[in-house]
Amino acid sequence: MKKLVLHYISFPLLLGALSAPSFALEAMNDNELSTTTGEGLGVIVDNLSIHSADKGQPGGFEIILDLNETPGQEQFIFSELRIHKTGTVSGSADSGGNFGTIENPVYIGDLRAIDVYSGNATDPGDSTVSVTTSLRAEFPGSSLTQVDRSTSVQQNNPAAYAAAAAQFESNLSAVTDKFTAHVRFDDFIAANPMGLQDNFRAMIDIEGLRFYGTYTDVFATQGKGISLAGATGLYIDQVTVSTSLPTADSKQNASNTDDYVTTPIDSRLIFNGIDVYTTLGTRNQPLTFDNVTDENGNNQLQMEISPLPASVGVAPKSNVYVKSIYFGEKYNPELRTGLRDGMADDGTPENYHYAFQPDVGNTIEIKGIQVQHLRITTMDI
Amino acid sequence: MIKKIILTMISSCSLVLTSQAELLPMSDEVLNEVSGQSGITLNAKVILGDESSIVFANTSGKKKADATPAETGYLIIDELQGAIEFEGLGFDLVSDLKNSGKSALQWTLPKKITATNLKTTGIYISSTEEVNPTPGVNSSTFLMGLEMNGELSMPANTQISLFIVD
Repeated sequence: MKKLVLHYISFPLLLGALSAPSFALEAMNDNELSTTTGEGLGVIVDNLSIHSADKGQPGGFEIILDLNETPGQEQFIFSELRIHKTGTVSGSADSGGNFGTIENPVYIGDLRAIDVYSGNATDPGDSTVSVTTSLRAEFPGSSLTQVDRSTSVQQNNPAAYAAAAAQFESNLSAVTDKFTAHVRFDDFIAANPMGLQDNFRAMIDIEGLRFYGTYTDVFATQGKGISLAGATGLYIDQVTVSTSLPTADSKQNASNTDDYVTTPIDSRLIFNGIDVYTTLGTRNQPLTFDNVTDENGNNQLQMEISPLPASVGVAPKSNVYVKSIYFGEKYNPELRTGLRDGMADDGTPENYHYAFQPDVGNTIEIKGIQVQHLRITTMDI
Repeated sequence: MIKKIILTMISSCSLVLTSQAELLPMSDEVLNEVSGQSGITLNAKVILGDESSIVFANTSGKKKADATPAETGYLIIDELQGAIEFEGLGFDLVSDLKNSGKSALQWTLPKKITATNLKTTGIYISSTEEVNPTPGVNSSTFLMGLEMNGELSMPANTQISLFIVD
């Protein structure tokens, strides 16, 4: 059997997510550290555009996850994978968008010495750290921080909020285009009766997708091996989840209204103005991957964010904002909550307030998420 | 140091390719499509035999020789097989990337990537370097299978430029 066994840093494979558990990073000694020059590799992507045809059509593309060891029994199927510059037509020659600039590229490979917590996490007086070597990777806009979009901030000082939001928009636009993405989900369950085995589940359309504040530090910790500290910021104009396939009428309607999404409007759940910033591991609480044995002796994969050291006390906070939600059409009469001041009650859609569409602020705010300790273990048997 | 990393990258890439791929001879028609005017443009088809696999070893931060069995685990991507075909993959060296004065290695991504039954029969978490399907102690745990089929097109002349930054 041809087999490739990887024990140490293999840089190109780091670029693929599958490679993450493979590295055994070790701290560099002083001599080795003195030879580092602070250089890294920059990557910019010009004219990024990926297209695949509709599921079942020539040129279609599928990724199938087999969830059962016997192939073809229980499958999760991703298809219609498309990524292109927002405002363009997927598959067209001018659909490419740019990701990164010379000054702010995807950045990989800076080796640096960092302090990693190695004490007793339950002891408030123990702030012991160990020096280890870390490999840094960043997306364009990694230095951008999340704007406080909370409703209270928007209400208390609208001008300051508008200025901060505009500055963020300007800074982010300087390093990346907006991208539109599309994917379809189906499943296949062989045990279902004939005719009910293939099931369409959902289509997801994402418009105006951009990353910010995104970075990863890769290092090793005692007893855990490869460890990650990082954060991801996502700023998205709109996410549409559709539970019906496009029809001839819905496609025509989308064409008439210049709508990117082609599914029937009644089948859509639409989230607008999404800003998600989340940390996944820090130097005090690294994200680790390990294999563990369950009570039956089976090997299981375990992902863990280490306990928050008592001496640190506060974990980085993650925040989620969603400005509004549409259930089907934007002006859904079923969701009218009242008449706007001074407006006529004559059925004109714009004259009414609607649920989940605040004039100021957000319909969803999840603020200050702090991970004290997270452990996820597979339970395959 | 960065040169060491690049050398490691290149040598590792070579290792990966030679370990897993069986390159097929190209027909005259396909060879005629190779353009050599600027950099290198390639059409390629890689067919993987079903005995190919990738094993990631996690030795809990220790060298493998120093790690006990309890500290050693493996993620196995087993029985990689199928074919992947690229049309129009380009490599070039750019001396003044976007008037920055920087030299860059530039890939022009293929206009089309076709996967044909490209799959792994299983991704396993295991305490042994090879998949052990026998139930009981030290049996490998199946996480999922993965298969790709069909065409991905990149219609906009997508380019990836790699350069050194300070």
